[in-house]
Amino acid sequence: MVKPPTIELAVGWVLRGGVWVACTFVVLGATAYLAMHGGEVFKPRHEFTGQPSTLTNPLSIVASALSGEPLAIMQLGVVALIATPVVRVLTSLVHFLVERDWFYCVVTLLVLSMLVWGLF
Amino acid sequence: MTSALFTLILFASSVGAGLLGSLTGLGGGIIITPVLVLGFGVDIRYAVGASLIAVIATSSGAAAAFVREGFTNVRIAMLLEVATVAGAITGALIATNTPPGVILLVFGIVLIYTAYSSIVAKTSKPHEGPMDPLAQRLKLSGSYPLKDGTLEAYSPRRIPLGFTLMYGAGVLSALIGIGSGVIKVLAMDRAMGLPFKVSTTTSNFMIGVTAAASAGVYLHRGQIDPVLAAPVALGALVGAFLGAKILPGAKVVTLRRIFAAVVVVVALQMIYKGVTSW
Repeated sequence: MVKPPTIELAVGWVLRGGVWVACTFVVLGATAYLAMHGGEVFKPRHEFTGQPSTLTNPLSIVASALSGEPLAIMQLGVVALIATPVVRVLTSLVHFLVERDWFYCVVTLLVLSMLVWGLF
Repeated sequence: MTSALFTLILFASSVGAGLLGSLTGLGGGIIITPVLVLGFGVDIRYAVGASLIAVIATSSGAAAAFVREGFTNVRIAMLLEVATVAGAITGALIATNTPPGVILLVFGIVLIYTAYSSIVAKTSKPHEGPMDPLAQRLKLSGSYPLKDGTLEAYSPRRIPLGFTLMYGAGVLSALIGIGSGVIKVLAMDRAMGLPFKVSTTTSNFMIGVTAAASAGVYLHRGQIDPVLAAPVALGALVGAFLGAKILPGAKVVTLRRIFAAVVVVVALQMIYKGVTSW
């Protein structure tokens, strides 16, 4: 069975779009961060102390980023990156819905729910 | 050193990792975690977090290009992703209870296995003969373009085995911050009898989802530090894009030999570090 190219194109689109969005955030945040802290001596994370809650919860990250905190903006980019494959799975779900491929809709929903569960 | 310099070096290393990972289809995570741990002395938990983000970047960057070429099989990917995502979440959950030394050790062993299979792996011939009935029922067969433009049909077999291997790949991915591209490609190429380029591109396609599953959990645990994850992800992305451009003409065997040599050295160091931390 030859696969029609549309889904592949859509998926490619989604992935690239997501990556660009993520990169924009990351670059913006990183530039701001380096502008403020670039000359400081860097402590290379030898010990694991965990991240503040403004950087671990997607909703808090958005809030913090909106208030202009550079680390949060970078983390927002990171979250956007994590979201890219998730959105990709979502696109596949839509495709299977359109094709009325119910079995694969269920399969995709399964994957999607596990992903979302982990993220939130 | 200063933050700026550190960021720059981290970025450059990640470009290399992304390039190599994308060209060999094995993922950059396997390079980035050791670089962070051995090269920069980062705690393994942060290293795994940052590496997973880079893995997602690599996967999304490269997959976008491959999908256009028509090699990736979306149905096979989706079905197997049930296994890898379940595995990844399992792995992320047990990772908290796993001492860092153990993680390092596991990493070293996986690396050695990677090196071994990189050299030894000969692509198996696609299975001739009647289609596996399960593959037929699940609509998993497809076709891909050969160099001369004609389409070659294929169909997977031994799907339950592939599924199980994918679960393991997911657990490993979460535990040590890699994309598990090796296991995925091996599972598809050897166990399921898929053509090599379909295996590698489909694997690349799945790697991002697997990594996202555990990355989500790690985000919550505070294991993702943007100062590390940001340059690493950007660098890996650049490397992956370059790799995707070069791939169609690349000689995978030679690449893997170089990769394998480097990997053995790194593996030994990781094992050493894991053992001495007890």
